Parts: sequence; C-alpha cells; structure tokens
Amino acid sequence: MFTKKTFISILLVPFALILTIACSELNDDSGLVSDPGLFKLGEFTDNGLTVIAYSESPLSVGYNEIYLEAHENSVRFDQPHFLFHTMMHMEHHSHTSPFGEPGHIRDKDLDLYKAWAIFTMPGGMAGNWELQITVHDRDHSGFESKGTIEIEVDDSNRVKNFMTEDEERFVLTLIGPSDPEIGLNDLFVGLHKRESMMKYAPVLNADMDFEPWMPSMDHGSSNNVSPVHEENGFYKGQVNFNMTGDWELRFEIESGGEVLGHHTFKLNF
Amino acid sequence: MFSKKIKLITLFSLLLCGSLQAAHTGGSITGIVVDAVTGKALSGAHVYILNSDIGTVTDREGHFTLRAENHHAVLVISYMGYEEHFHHHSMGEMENSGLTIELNPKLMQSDNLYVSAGRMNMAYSGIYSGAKTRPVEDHMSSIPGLDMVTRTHFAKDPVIRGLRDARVNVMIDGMRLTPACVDGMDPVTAYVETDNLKSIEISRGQESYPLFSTAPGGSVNFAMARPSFDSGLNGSAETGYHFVNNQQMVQGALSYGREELAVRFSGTYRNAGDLMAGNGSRITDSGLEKGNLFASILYQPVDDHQLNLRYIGDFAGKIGYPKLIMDTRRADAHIAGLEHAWKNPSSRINNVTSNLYVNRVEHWMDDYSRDVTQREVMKDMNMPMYGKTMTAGLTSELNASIGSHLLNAKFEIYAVRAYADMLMEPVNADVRDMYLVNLGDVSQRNASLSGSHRYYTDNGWVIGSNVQLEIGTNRIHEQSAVATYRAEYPELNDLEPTQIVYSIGFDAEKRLSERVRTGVRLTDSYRLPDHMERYGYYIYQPLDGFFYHGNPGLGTERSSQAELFVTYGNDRTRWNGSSSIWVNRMDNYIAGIRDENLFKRFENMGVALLTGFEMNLNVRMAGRWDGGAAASYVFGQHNELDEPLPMIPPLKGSLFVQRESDIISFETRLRWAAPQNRIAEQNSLESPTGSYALLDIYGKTSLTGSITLQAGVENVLNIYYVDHLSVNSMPGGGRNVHLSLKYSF
Repeated sequence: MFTKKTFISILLVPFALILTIACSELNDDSGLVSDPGLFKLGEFTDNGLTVIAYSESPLSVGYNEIYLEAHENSVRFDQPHFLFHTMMHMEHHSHTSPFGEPGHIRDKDLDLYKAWAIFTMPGGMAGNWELQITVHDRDHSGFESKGTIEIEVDDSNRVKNFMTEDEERFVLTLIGPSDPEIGLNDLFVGLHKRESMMKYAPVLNADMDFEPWMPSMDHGSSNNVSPVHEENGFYKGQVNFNMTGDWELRFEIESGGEVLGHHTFKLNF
Repeated sequence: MFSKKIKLITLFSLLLCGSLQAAHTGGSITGIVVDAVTGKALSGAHVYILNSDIGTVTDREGHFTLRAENHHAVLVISYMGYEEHFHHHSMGEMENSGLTIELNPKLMQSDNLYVSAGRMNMAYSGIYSGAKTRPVEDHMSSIPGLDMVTRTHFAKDPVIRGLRDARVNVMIDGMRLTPACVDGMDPVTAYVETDNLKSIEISRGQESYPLFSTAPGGSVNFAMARPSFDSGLNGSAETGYHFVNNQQMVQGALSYGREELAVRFSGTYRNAGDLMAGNGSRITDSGLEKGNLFASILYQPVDDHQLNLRYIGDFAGKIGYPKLIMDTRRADAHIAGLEHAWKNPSSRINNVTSNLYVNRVEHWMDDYSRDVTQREVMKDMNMPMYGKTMTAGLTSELNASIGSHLLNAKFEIYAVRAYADMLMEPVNADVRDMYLVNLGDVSQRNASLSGSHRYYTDNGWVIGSNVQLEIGTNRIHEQSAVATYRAEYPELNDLEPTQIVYSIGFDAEKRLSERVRTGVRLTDSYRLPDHMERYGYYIYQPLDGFFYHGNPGLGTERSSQAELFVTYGNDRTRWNGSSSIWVNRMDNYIAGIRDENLFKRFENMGVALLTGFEMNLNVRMAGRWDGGAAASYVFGQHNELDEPLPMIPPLKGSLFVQRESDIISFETRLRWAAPQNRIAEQNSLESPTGSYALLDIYGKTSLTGSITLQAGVENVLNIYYVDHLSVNSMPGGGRNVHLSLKYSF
C-alpha cells in the first residue's frame, strides 16, 4: 500500500511549501507593490510614475494620516522625495490647511510613506479638497511626477477654527483619544496658526488648561493632565473618563500671556 | 426506640460526666445539668429554688451548688433554647443519689425565637417571639446598644454601639453574606425571615468568648432553625395581617424527624402596600412583596457526628424606598451551607464544628416609577442598577475544656466576589446614555486563625484572653475598573494589596457575691477595609447624600476598646440587670472625605472616639407578671473633623410589663428616644431629630391546643415620629393593629 510513489509525494510536499514561501519573499524583495489593505483615496500617473494615496479610513475634518506609494509598472520607485500639500478650492479663493510632508523613510508598520493633514472644513457645497503631490527622485536627476488627487472629507467636530481679538486665526484640533476608553487616555491636540491662505505654522508656546466635563451629570473627573507642547504644534496630556457617555473636553488656551480662546469639543463614547 | 434513646442519653451522660457526679451534703444541693440529647454539660444554666431568693448558675462543667434551708424544695432549671425543668426533691432523696438534670431542647414546632446579647443572655423577643410571620428586625428592637438603620419599612440594618456596615459582622448561621446593592438597600436582614431562625445572637463590641469578632461594632448572627430527631411529623401554618401597611403574611412549615434523620421545609410570603405614618399620611410607594423558602436536613450517620444541610432561597419583587431615589425591582438570594458537627471527639474536646457554605445574591433596582424630572439628585435621568455578589467560605471551630480552662479555636477562610454597574438614561433622547461600573468584578479572599481561652479560678475569677490573625487579599477582575483606579490613584503602585492584621483581647470577671458579677474587657484590633471601601465607585450613600469613591490604598483601621460591666442576678431571680460602660477609640478611622460637590473618597481620617453605656433592669413580680427597663446611649466624635460622628443614635430605651400564662399572655411596651442634636454638619448632610415615645400592646392566647392567636397594637397613640437612623427622615409607622393566627400539629 505504501508505495514508492507515495513516499516521493510525501517528500515533495514540504519541499514545494518551502519553495513557495521562498518565492514569495523573493517577490517582496523585487520591489513589487502590494495592496496595503488601506482605504484608497486615489491615484494619478504622470511621467510614467503612478502615485497612490491611502488612509486608514475615509477622511474627515480633523487630523488624518495619509500614506503614499509611488511605482513604475508595479515596481516601487526607489527613494522618492514627495512634496505634499492640501488644497481647498472654493468659489472665489483657494486655501490650504495644516499638513506635514512625508519623510524619506517608509513607515515601519505599513511600509508606505506617511504624511498628515488637518482638514479644517468638510468638502462639499463650499468647495472640494485635493491633495497636490509632486515626486522627485532623491538623486536630483531632474525627474518629476506631479498630480492631484481629489478627495472627499466628511464633517466632524474635532476642529475649532477661531480668530482672536487681534484677528489672528488659529486651528485647534482634537487628535486623540480617537478610541476613548474608561480610565486615563492620552490626549493629543494640535494648535496651528494661519499665517496666510497657503501657510499654517505650528504654535509652539501655548499654555493649555484642560478639563473634561459631563454636562448631563454635572461633574468632571480627577487627575487629568493639561496638554503640553511636544513638537510641531502638537500637544500631549491625559484625560480621565470615569464612565461612558457624553463628555465635553474644555480647553482654555493662552499664548504669550494672552488668552486665545475657550473651546470645547464634544465627545460621545 | 424511645428506651434505646434514653439508654444512649444515659450512656453519654455517664461518659461525659465521668467523675462529675452530683452529691448532696448537709444543707447544700449539688448536681450537674446536661443536654438530654447529647449529654453535653451545660455551662451557664440557671438553677434556683422556687419561691426563694436562692439561685445560681452552672459552672463550665455544668456543676451547681445550692444551699437549701428546707427539707423539701422545688428546683427550677432553665437554659436558653431548652425546656424549663422543675425538679421536686427531699433531702433524703438527694443524700442518697447524685443529681443529674437533663434539659430537653425546645422542639422546632413549638419554639420561640430567642434574642441574646452577650452576657445579658436574655430573651427580648417578648411574647410574640413565636410569631413566624413578623420580620426579623421586629424581634431585635429592644436590645440596648443595638439600633437599626431604616431605609424603608423593610430590611433594617443593624447598628451596634454607633457602628454599622463593614464595622458590624452580620452573619447567617455563621456564614458571611455580602449584600449586592451598592446603595445598601439589601442588608443581610433582607434575606432572612423569622421562620428561618431559632435565635439571634448579638455581640456588642468585641466579645471575647465565644462570639469573638474583629468587627469593632460587634456581630449579629442569625442562627438557623434546625429540625429535631425523633420528633415525628410536625407542621404549622400561620397567617398574619398588619393594618398599618395592609401587609399580608403567610407562613407554613413541615418537619419530620426520626432517629437519625430530620428534615424541615418551610416558606414565607409577604405582600404589603403603602405604609401609613403616625399623622395618618400615606407614604406612597413604600410597599413590598417577597417570598422565602427554607430547607434544613439534619442527618446523624454515626453517633456524635451530625450533618446539617440548609438552604434559604429569598426572592423579592418590587420593594419601595420612598425616601431614596430608587426602588428595588427584584432581589434573589440563594444561601446554602453544609455543617458537620462532631461532638465529644475526645475527653477534653467538647466539639468540632465545620461549616462549608456558598451564597449568591443578585439585586436590581431602578427609578422607572419615579418622576426623575422633579428630583434634585441625578435629575432628568433614569438609573437602573444591577449588583451581584458571591460569598463562599469554610469555618472550622473547636471547643475544649481542660480542667478549669475553656479553649476555643477557629479557622476561617472566605472569599467575596462582587460586581455592580449602573446605566444612566437621560430623559432627553438626544443625550447619549451613560454607563458606569460601580464594582469592577472585585474579589477579596480572607483567612483567619483565632483562639480564645477562659480560666475559672477557685476564688470566683474568670480570666479570658483571645487573639486573631487575619490575612486579606484583593483583586480587580474587570480591566475597565483597573483603568479607573489607575486614573483615580496614579500614585498607587499596588491596586490589589495584601494586608495582615491582628486582634487581641483580655477580660477579667469577678463574682463579688452569689448574684453580683463585675468585670472589665480590653481589646485591640485592626480591621481590613471591605470591598466597598476599597473598590466601590460612584456609590450613592443615602445616609448622607454623597457619592463615594473607594480607595484601594486604604490602610487598616484600628479599634481599641475598654468595657466595664456589672451584672446582678439572672433571669430567674426576682431582680436582675446588667450595665456596661464602654469606650472605643478608632485610629485610622475610615470615612468619606469630601472631594468636590457631592463626592467623597474613603480615606483613613485620624481618630474617632465613641463611648456610651447600656443598661437593663428586670423584675419578676407576683402573679407571673414581669417588668423591665432598658436604655443605651452612644457619644461619637470625630477628632480630625472636630464634629460629631454622623448617624449616632440618641439616648433611647424601653419599658415593658408583661404577664405570661398558658391561657392568655399580655405585654405592653414603651419605646422612647431622646432628641439627637449632635449631628455631623461639615462632612455630612445629617439633620437633627426630635424625641418620641411609643406605646405598644401585645397579646397571645391559645384558642385550642393547636391554634394560637396573637394580636397587638403598635404605636397605640398614632404618634408621628422619625428615628434618628432613619434615612432621609423616613417616618416610622403609625398605629398598627396586627394579628396572626397559627395552627400547629
């Protein structure tokens, strides 16, 4: 019953498996792009280079991480240099929003180039958002691929656009917690100043007083930590949620001895 | 069968008593008092000569000596839980034979509920103690030093010497039970009916022997009823009615006992409407409905070994709490235990008793029947709450006597697991529901080893000492609760501490004369915080209107107590009484400290000082008339806050006159309380209360040999009153005409 043919077949099975796995790894090393399993925002092809933008979920007003990939005929473009910014085209004017360009190093987890953008308003009747992306090679050989990807941005309550008495305009963004839990949560906010329609600068020296509050319960929680600046206009603190429900995250923001404003984000979980 | 029993009893008596033979010499009578069933010597039994002032109590080996003046005398021997025994003697008879008095335990079907309080050892239940349809707290209402927190006309919570909750150990037949309602609406008294019990054993302060408890307030043990061997088939049915709240009660019991096996099954059902207060006003939504089932199986597989399996199932429907913000919607309790009693394992060890138990409680409450838009606390939202607990434990206790020494050793291990949560549903549908975990599936495991010793000297001294070592561990099982406490107490490295405490005690008692004894007791103990003090979160305390947060970092609470007492006579002498004065200094006192608005956090808060007294005096009058008076007072001061401790009972007491006979018995009682103006104002929302005096009348008659009618009127003058320990000034009941009819066979 146990023939020579069967014996050879049994030997061949693990051999075939090893060969398959090895070839798979060989493909990765060859630079072929693969589907990262993210939400695809769009792509363009220019000068033979295809640029694809992804995000973890559909974009919404507030802080969003955007991942970029560039390839030629499904083969990764070696060492790209991205120029990235956001643009909102309205009826009479256009403007950008706070954003961060991708670095030169691929994101460790997703193996893509990570940028970020804070969308200050939703897309729709008032205008449409697009990502304007330019790719050079890092050797400065003169290669350039340029294009735009039109994107949809849903509304949310995570951004406060406000103007001080001095008519300075700021953007306060609630970044985290994105998935709040009972207990202490890391609190991330961004504060950026609009210097022009095409430029937002990080605010590096703001003092923030922070208090979470449940209006329907008429109480807050203890041991919260007001956010302090970390880098590039991003501030980190801690918020204690002692129950689920409707919370208000109340901020008082000062800079240079001047109160920039009092702002409240509503958060339900 | 019966003669065999007698032979066995005689044999046991001989084996037990050995050389302890009774003898009469000259003008004195000596003898021994033993249990007729087990042959065990009964220490503390009262022996006196009828129509004389001559009496005594038996020593630790059941011995007694009386000096007789006449050749003929009638000895009366009584002991709690046993049938009273009369013995006619002549000097000649006694000179020729030793005197062994055998007392028969009272049979279940005819027993009364006895309430004892330490050395007073007296039945305070009055003539209605045989009424099984009355709530258990009604039988505890006249013990000096014992008060009750009243949340509604149901399940009052024992307070001993001004202490309550975790500072009073309330047990059912030695088994711990953990209430499931975090707002205190289901104290242990919610889950027992009078039908379940044979006695209520109250220990005020830290009694050293044999009910030693590290709870600084003391303990209440609801000792379960148990069937009797060789009792045949017995049963009873009782129905009762209270006019003050339209309460209907039905109770039935059936028991059967043969030589080695006895069983008892019973049930109680209560259904009450709104309570009428003293001024005739109706307290709406104060009704209740509940049922209770009880089973006890007693089995003696071999001589000296008994197994007792017992179960209480208690099932409550809606119970109204009109002065609180919620009502109980449903509460279920399952309480089960298996006890093994080994009698006379050796000549020096009297008994070894082990008890394995488990109980589970679930409690649902909500405010769906309230108009939440009109209240001040938690306005505009409904708050259904759920709680469940499971408590399991094992105790093993040994009692031994070596010469003039009595020894008691006890090992206990138990675990409590508790969970509670709360949903907050805003009336405004646009506002999202909120959810909170009040007890994040927390558990506490405790183990203790304790021992106590009593030494009877030849010159009338009784010297006692006791020691206990206890270890407690804690654990939070739900991760959201861990996150909550990490957020609330970031400075704590260990949210689940293990703590070890000890307790020691010493007492000395001196018989000054045949009837007068005096003594002193000193104890020093440490208490582990309970699961609510440590892990309760957002717990509404209706006693002071604050929301409490537990504190995993709580330290142990120390209680140092001293007590001086005097007793006179016993319950068979013409006059008898006792009085105690005591002081209790509590260091690292655990209390809620105000955090913000209506929130408190448990902290160890300096020193609290409590002191007070209890006294009672009884007299036996001619014609089977008895009378008595009792009073108690507690003074409590929180030194740290420099204000009175909250919820301290005022000076209060009672007077009674009763006459018992085989045909008709009668009792009238006056309950009174002084005003309480010493209230905690800084750290609580306490209100002063006024004085009151209430007159009660009870009567009992046997219509036939098997039918008994009990009737009475409480608060005869229909006085409106508020007890100081009544939560949110819930008034007491107005005039209550009640009656019960009981048929026994």
